Amino acid sequence: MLHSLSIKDLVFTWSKQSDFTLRIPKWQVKTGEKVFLHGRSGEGKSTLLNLISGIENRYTGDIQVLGQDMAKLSQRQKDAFRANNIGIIFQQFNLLPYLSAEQNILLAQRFRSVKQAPSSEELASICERLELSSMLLKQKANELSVGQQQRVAVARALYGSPELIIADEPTSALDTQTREQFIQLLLDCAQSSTVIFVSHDLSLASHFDQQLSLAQLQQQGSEIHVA
Amino acid sequence: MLLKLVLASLWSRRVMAILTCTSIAISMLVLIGVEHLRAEVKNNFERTISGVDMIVGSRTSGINLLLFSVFKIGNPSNNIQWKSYQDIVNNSQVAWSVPLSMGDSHQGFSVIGTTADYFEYFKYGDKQQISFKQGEAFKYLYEVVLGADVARKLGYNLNQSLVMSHGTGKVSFTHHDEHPFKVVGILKPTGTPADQSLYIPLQSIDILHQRQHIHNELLSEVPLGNTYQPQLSAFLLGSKSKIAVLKLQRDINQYKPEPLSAILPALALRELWKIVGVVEISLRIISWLILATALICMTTMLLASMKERERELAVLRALGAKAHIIILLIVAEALILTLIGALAGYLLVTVGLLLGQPLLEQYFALYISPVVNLVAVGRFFSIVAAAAVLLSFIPAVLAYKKSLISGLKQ
Repeated sequence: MLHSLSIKDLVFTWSKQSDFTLRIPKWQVKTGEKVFLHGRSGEGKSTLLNLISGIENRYTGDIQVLGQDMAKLSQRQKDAFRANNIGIIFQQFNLLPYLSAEQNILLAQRFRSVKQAPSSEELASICERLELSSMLLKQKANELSVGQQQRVAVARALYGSPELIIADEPTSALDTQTREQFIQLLLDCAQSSTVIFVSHDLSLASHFDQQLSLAQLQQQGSEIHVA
Repeated sequence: MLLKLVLASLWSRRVMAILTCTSIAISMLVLIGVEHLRAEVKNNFERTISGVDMIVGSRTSGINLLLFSVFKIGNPSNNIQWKSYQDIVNNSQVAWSVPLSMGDSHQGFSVIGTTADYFEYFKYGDKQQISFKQGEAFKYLYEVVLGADVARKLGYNLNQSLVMSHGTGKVSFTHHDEHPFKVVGILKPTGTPADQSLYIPLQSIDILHQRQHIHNELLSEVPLGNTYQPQLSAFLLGSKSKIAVLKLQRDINQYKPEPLSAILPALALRELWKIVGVVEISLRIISWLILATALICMTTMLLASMKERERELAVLRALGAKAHIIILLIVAEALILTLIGALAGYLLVTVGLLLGQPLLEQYFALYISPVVNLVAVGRFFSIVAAAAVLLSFIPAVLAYKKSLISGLKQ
């Protein structure tokens, strides 16, 4: 597959803010590419990620994720598609506080329709790379430090080797040094996946293969690279 | 997996969950408790008299006759002449009869003049015969048999001497202290008004009222016979065949020499329960209202918790949890809270009954079984569970819609 993501003539209008519309004439992300997407707050970055992951459905145009036309899937199929193919890292990491780190990592796998569960070796390997000790894995998510939480969030997104990883401003709560470490860790671990990383922090752009601003994307398509 | 998730999520909000469970438990406690009490009271009521085909008294309403002859409430409007009694019991359809004469009391308990046949033919519950805990039926004039409550509350034992009072009030100024009675028998508890009476020979009543006067010292050894012809308050009848009962009733109601009323106890009991039944319905309505309040409280709690759970549900959605899983999570949570609450309520009722039964018996003469009817409890559990599922659909669907809208914004 050449492209992990292919968008054409996408138009999304907020029902209550009809004067504000997200338009993307054309955007393609090659398989395995690491993309940095930046934009101002409220510009529609999260909405675009919701559209790509099949959570938001009110759009016209064409969105193909991993070769699948999202419009052709029912909500149920979209949920299953997301569980099977997309790993998501949230702004606040969003671990479920009442589950242990390990349960959080395994959570997405529970919702997958692909029955063959990733091997325990894969979990062990991810945890080793992310320096998640077995003792730490047993701890409740709300007992972990911010650094530990981000590593668990990355492990959750990577577990099951999803082809596409979406990260929605996961570094906004981190200081500069931790931010750099986090990006490096993510990109090291997600070498085989396509990564779409959304942030308003331009200083991170250099880590990625492709850098885009949402404003430019809306006007001209994906050929513009941020300087 | 889903259950684990629900339990872990509930545990993280345990204070709210415990409060919700408590409110449901208390509502179930009231609902099961009231229902049990209602069923037991009705059961006790229906158990009051059995195996008796007919009660006969002087002309009065059926309920009045039942009240004074069985429940010892109120007074007969008139007495029955001994001759009328003899006429009726000599009817070929009559198998047995037990005469009753009331009007005296002892420490507020009614004294019933009757024959030893009373202990053989008066039945309660499921045609259970009255039995003796100690001693036996009276054989001589100044002997008395005590109902279980009388013996227990007044602390009387066999061979003790008692004095009867005239009238049925607790305080009487006329005591028949020239005629002390010896306790010869104490009955086992029956859970009916029969426990709250003293039984003396029919002839003794007449002697107490000095219609026949026999010297005290000679009386204790005077055997019962047909020498005396006292007036009766009522009498119980058993007929030879069930088919003959209605004809016998008609004959008695049309008895010319004296206006009499004959009632069928089962029908009269049912009639009386209809009057008492209004209270029953009110109790039921109140307990259901309490439960409805608790369920609405639970729904409110679920709705309130949705705000703090928005992120949790959005995360689950983003991780690929299908819509029905989100809905199932909320519904399962409501179901778990309700069932735990209901179970706690049931256990509270059972423990309460076990602890409270002796007190109810002692202070209210109420014999309430500590074993709650499991069919009724099962019915309540099903209704409450169904209501919880239906009600929780409101927050569940709202949560699902919200999780769709909020998406990854969290």
